[in-house]
Order: sequence, then C-alpha cells, then structure tokens
Amino acid sequence: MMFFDLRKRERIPLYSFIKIATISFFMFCSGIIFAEPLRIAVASNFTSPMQKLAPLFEKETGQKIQLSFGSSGKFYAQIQHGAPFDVFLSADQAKPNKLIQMGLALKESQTVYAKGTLALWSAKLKSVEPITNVLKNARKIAIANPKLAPYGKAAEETLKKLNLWSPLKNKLVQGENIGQTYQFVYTKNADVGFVALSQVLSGDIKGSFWTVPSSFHADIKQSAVVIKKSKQKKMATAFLAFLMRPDIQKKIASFGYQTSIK
Amino acid sequence: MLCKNAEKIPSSKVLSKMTDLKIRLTKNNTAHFSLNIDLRLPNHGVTAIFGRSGSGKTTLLRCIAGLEKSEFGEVSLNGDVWQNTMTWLPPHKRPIGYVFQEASLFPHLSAKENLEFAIKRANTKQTIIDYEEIVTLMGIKPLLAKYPNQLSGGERQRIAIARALLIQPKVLLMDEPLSALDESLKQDILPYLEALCRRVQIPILYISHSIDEIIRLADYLVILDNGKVIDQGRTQKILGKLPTPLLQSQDASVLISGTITEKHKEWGLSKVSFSHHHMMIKSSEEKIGDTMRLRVKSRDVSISLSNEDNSSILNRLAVVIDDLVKDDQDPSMMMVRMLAGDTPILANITALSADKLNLKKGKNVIAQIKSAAVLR
Amino acid sequence: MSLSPGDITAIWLTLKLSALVTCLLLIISTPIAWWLARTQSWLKAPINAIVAMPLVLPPTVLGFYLLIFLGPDGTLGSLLNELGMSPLPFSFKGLVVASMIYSLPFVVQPIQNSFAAMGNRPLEVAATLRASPWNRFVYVALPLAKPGYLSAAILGFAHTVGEFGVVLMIGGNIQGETRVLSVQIYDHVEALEYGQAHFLSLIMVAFAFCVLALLYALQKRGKNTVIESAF
Repeated sequence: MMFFDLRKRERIPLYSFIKIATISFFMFCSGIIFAEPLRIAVASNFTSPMQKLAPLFEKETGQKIQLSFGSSGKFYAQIQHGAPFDVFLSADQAKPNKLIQMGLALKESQTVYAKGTLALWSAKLKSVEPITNVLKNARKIAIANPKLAPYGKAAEETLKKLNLWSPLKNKLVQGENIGQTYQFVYTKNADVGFVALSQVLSGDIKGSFWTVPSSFHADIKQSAVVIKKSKQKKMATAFLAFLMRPDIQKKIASFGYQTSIK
Repeated sequence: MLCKNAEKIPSSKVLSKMTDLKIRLTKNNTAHFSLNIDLRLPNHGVTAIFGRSGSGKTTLLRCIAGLEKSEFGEVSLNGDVWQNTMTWLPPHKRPIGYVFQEASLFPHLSAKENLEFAIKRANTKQTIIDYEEIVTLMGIKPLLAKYPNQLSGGERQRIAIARALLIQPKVLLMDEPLSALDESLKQDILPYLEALCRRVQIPILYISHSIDEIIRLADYLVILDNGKVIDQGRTQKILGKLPTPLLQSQDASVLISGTITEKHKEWGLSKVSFSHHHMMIKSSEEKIGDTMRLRVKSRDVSISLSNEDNSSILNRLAVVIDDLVKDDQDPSMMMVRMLAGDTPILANITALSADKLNLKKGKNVIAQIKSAAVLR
Repeated sequence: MSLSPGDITAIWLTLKLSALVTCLLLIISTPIAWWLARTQSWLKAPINAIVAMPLVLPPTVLGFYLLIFLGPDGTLGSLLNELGMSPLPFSFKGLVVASMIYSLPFVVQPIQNSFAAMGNRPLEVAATLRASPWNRFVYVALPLAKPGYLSAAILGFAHTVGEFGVVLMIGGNIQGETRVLSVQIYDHVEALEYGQAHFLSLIMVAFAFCVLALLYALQKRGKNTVIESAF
C-alpha cells in the first residue's frame, strides 16, 4: 500500500507537468503564427518620430510592430536579398523606385510620408548667421555623404546655390549618414554642419541653427513602400494610410518635417 | 661517532686571511625552508657542496651569484666585497662563471656564438684559460658550428662549461652540471671535468648529490642539510668517517688519492702508492707519476687477521682499526673504520665475522680489496 | 573592372596608415609587453585588461569616445589645442592615433607571450655572463622574441588594414587623408555600386588569405611558433 501510494503521488505531478507543457507548447506556437509583428525598416533620420508613432498604431489596431533603424542603402540591399520586411520607410525616393522597378515592392503603395528639412547647425556658435560668413570662417563643415544620403545631396545643392561649394570643398568632412554628421557637429569636432532639422529638434537644442529654405535644394522626398513578399500586405497598407492621416501628418511636421498639412 | 668536531679547513694556517671565499647568508624562502650559512672556503681547488634535494644547495649558489637576494648576507672573495649590509653587486658585476643544471645555451646562437657571447664580455684583467685551450680541453671543436638543438645533452653541457670559463671568472659555480644527463653521458663528460678541474687555477664550487662525482672531483666537501652546514673538510677525511645518515643513502665509499709508481704491462695492472701503502689497479691511460683518485666501496673491503699469501686478492693493506659501529638499518652488518697511515678505509662486514675475529679498536688487521672493485 | 583613381588613393592611404601604425606599435608595445610579461604587481591584471579592451569593445564605442576625447571639448583635444597642435579628428594623424589604440592588443599580446615563454633562465644565464640588463634585453630577450615580433607585425598590419568602424567614426571620409579602403568599399556598397565594391572586397579577401597563410607557414617553419605566440 505504501509503495503504491508513493508511486501514485509521484505520477500525478508528472502527468500535470506534461499537460501544462503540451498546452504551453501549443500556445507558444499559436503565438508565433497569429501574433506576427509588422516589420518596418526605417531610415535613421526618421527614428524619433517613428518611436512615437508606432505605439499609437499598435494601440489603435492591436497589431504589434517591430522597428529596424538603419541606412536606407543597407535596407535596400537587404530587401533585395530577401530580408523579411513588410514596409520600408526610405530617406529618399530613388530606392523605393528601384525596388518597384525590380518588382520587389508594390507600386501602388508608394507614399511620400514626409519631406526632409535641412538645417545648418552649430553646437558651439551662438548664431550661425550670416551663414556665408559663418561657413567661410568655419574650420570644418560637416555634411552627409552626398553620394549616399539625400540630406548630403541637399547640402551640396545648397552650397552650390550659395556659390560656396568650390571654395569650401576642402573644409568638408563627410558623415556616412546624417546620424554621423550630427555626431560630428554635436561633439564640436566640426564647427558647423548641414543636418536634418528633425535631428536638431529631437535633441536638447545646443548652440544655434538656421533652417535652409526649401528653395535652396530639391525636395528631400522621403517615400515608403510595401514589400511584395510581405504576408501582411493589408496591415502594411493600413500602416501607410495611418501615416498619411492628417493628425499623424501634423505630428510628423512637429518633428521638423514638411508634410502635406504644412 | 668519530671526529665529532668537523675538521675546519685551516683558514688561518694554509690560507692567508685575504684569499678565501667568505659566505654568510640568512634567507627565509618559505615557512618551511630557511638558509643559514657561514662558510669560509679555500680559494683554490674544487669544493663540493653535497646534500639531498631541498637542502638549499642551489639557493646557496644562486645567492653567491647574486641571482637571488638574501635578507642578510656577506659574500666576499679575497677581500672583495660582493655583498654586505652596504653593498649589493648585481650578478653581471660579480666575477663568476655559472654552469646551470640543465643546458642553458642561447638557442638563437650557434655553439661558437655562445662562446663568443662570453668572450665579448670577458674580464680582460685576467686570463685563466684561452679559447683554443678550452675548446681542446672540452673536446668541442667539431661542435662549434652546430646550434643547441642539434647537440646532445652532454655536448651542450660541455659548451656551457667552456662558455662559463671564457668569461674569465675568479670563481666557477657549477650547479649539478651532470644531473640532467643519463649515466653513460655522465661517464663521458666526467673526464673532461677532471681535466678542467686540474687545469684551472680558480676555486670551483660544485654542487652534487652524487658520491661518485665528489670522489672524482672534489678536494673539499661541504655537507648541507636543511639549509645548514652540518660538516665540512677535506673530501678524504669526511668520506672516511663512519657514514652519516645522509651518506648512507648511497654506498659508503672512501677516497684514496695516490701516485702511479709502476706499470705492469704484461698483467694490465698499475701500482698506486699512498702513505707507504700500495695498491694494484687495472691499468688504463695513466702514466707513471700521475695522481690517481680511487673510490673504494665499503662492501668491497674484507678483513683478515693475518697477511696470508694464499688469497687471490692482490691488495692487502696492513691497517689499524679506528672504530666500528653497528648498521642502524641492518643489525646483521657492521661498519669498520680503519686507517692505512692517515688514509681512512671503510669495510662493511657481518656482525658475526666481527665477533669471530674479535675486532676492536686499535687492533692491527689486514684490509683486503679486490683490484677489480676499485673505481676511478 | 578596373580601379578608379579614388580606389587607388584609398589603397595607397591604407597601406601607408597600416605600415606607420605597425612601426609605431612595435616600438611602444615592447616596454608594455616586457612589463606585463615579467611583473608580479597587482597592476598586471588591470593593465592587461586595458590593453585587451579593443578586442572586445565594438569599434563604434572606441570611435565615439575618441570623437569626444579628441574633440575641442574633450580632455585630449583641448590639451592639444592649448599646445597649439592641430586637432586630430578628420586628419591622417588622428587615424594613426585611433588605429594604434584599436590594434594595440594585436601587437602587445604576441610579444608579451614570447617574452613570457622564454622565462627567466636565458636572462639569468646572460647575467652570469656579465651582460647588463639592457645588454640582456637587446642580445637575448629580443632575438628570442623574434617569432612574437613577426606575428605582432603581421597581425597589427592586417588588423589596421581591416579597420573600419573607428575610421568611419573619426575620419570624416576625406579623400587621400582619411578615406581608407574599408570606407571606400562601404561607400561603394551604400551607393549601390556593387561591381566596384566586389572588386575591392576581393582584393581584401585575397589580402587576408595571404596574411593568414603566411602566418601559418611561418608557424610550420619555426620551432617557436608564430601562431602560438600570437594567440
């Protein structure tokens, strides 16, 4: 009797353990299947707006979002090689265009979700005006690599417009992306630099800045697309629609972008 | 025990005050080991430092060389102070040659370059031996172009000894130079060492735990145990004492030092004479007039009461019994100490024989030694 | 596919930087390695850790801190400024300093290992042969540490050639001054010029293979192995 009892007592917890394990295993699997997040690749300059906007979308729809931040060029290459993104928020228009041409993104989904604003910023000067003098007196001027970053290209166009490109060319130091350009100015290693207004506004505002009029350069159109391979095209499209909603566009504008509202 | 007081090397008589190696050291290495040494050693000949491993032999030598520091120490050679409370000479400023236990040639240099390393840095004030001579003496001419990894252990050690001498030291320190070699290599290298010890006119301190090496090389013997000197004196005297526990670990032997007086080619035997006594030994290369050092093991010696000519044993020495003691380890055996003139001889015989022959101190007996048992 | 003038400038700049950094590192690593190999001091562990830190720190961390310390507000930057020296970021000199910090463990460790491996005995032997401490170091320790120096030089050079993150952070991408090969490749990739990127990358792959093959070949030849002293 005693032995029997002991064995029985042993068996009960083991049995319930198996039951719990089995149930949790199925719950775990179903979790993977049903709660797949929306994967969004975001150009680094749009990092801080996105961090604020994604929770709003999650709250409204109950859809989880997984954000990846990085350079548009890198995302472009990754998507080309099958990276599992649902939406791509590029810093330019060229890369989404190319993806559409290659048949990797949905043409009808392409949306200009924001236009970038360029700013001349210095972390150490009290004023960056008059800009021509400031630029001429600067020892190092930071810009983003014009070959790679739309903000770099806009900076180049701005300097050309001011007839300062050739005279100042050897003072230029290039960040690989607009984030690095921001670092150069922030650490005062560069006296001034052309960065995104959104960056200047997102940090504690140090020094002084001047907003470059949009007439000085071609629009920095930031466009988004839905990736063709996505298994959640509906949700992805819904997300792009969400970005274009007037209340959200207003929010984006407040981060230092030009939008359809402003 | 005989000679209870160790015979001190007669520093005042034989050696003038300024020509000796004076060593006083205190060193506490660990909780278990401390060195406490007060020695005055002769500034010529070979002084062997004998002791079991862990007795502090190597530490003593390293302190003399300056490779290790002792808390308290005075080291001086012929009045030149190397170390006292005021002075500390680093090793490279001490006029020493040092031969390490294991081969210590620089692996990146050939044998010749190893020797040149010493020649370049040699003491120019005195020359104890020149390059050509040491190369011949140690028989290393054919080895000079080779690198250490192409040499045998014995060859490496011969080069290392030559190198230590080419620095032209005032004293040569040798730390068990043969211990890393196997027995046959030892026998190969010993003749070179003997030749060297006879040739150089500087004092040699030679660490060893082999009675064999000591008998062949050492003029003086210092016995070290647990960091302290327990006995010191002429090798012959120390070895002729009844064996101390330390010496018992090896075959108790005595050293007989004599001169070749006759050679009998037809029998292949040589006659060795010492203090009015004679012994026949097997001949080899030696010439008449050469000095020989012979090792006679106590178990190869038997005792007879009369000098009868009917025995096959050639060597029968008329001796006087000096002392006899029972063997601690083996109650059936007895150790008998005899004197042939002033040369001590030990015999290991059964207690029964000793009783039968009524052996006692002062009795005249005949010590019989087989010629074939004499080692050189 | 051929190399553009920009590519050639980048290759030349990379070789110049790596050679200079390797030479300087071999010099300053010697006393550090010697001390680390022989000291009993409690400082050994922390100094060892500092030297090895670039091995584990992401280059971006190094680059970021260098940008701050060498900047006009940084400790070193303001010091250099007061001494009337030109600032280090965005200059070749700055890359040299950064690369030296970044490649330090790759040079110190092989040398340190070979100093440690030789032990005390050869130096004691030399001391009894009337060699002064400096003499012992030059004629005994250095020749015995040769395999270590060889692998230190190879690894230091190769590691500097392959450096990217730190250069990217403090270089400012100036052609002929700070745009080294790895940055050039990065730019090609980012600009979607994959052909050019492939070509330069292949050069790097071939270089890395040759360096490692050389290292292992030396290991086979020498008794004191190069690889052993390297790792």
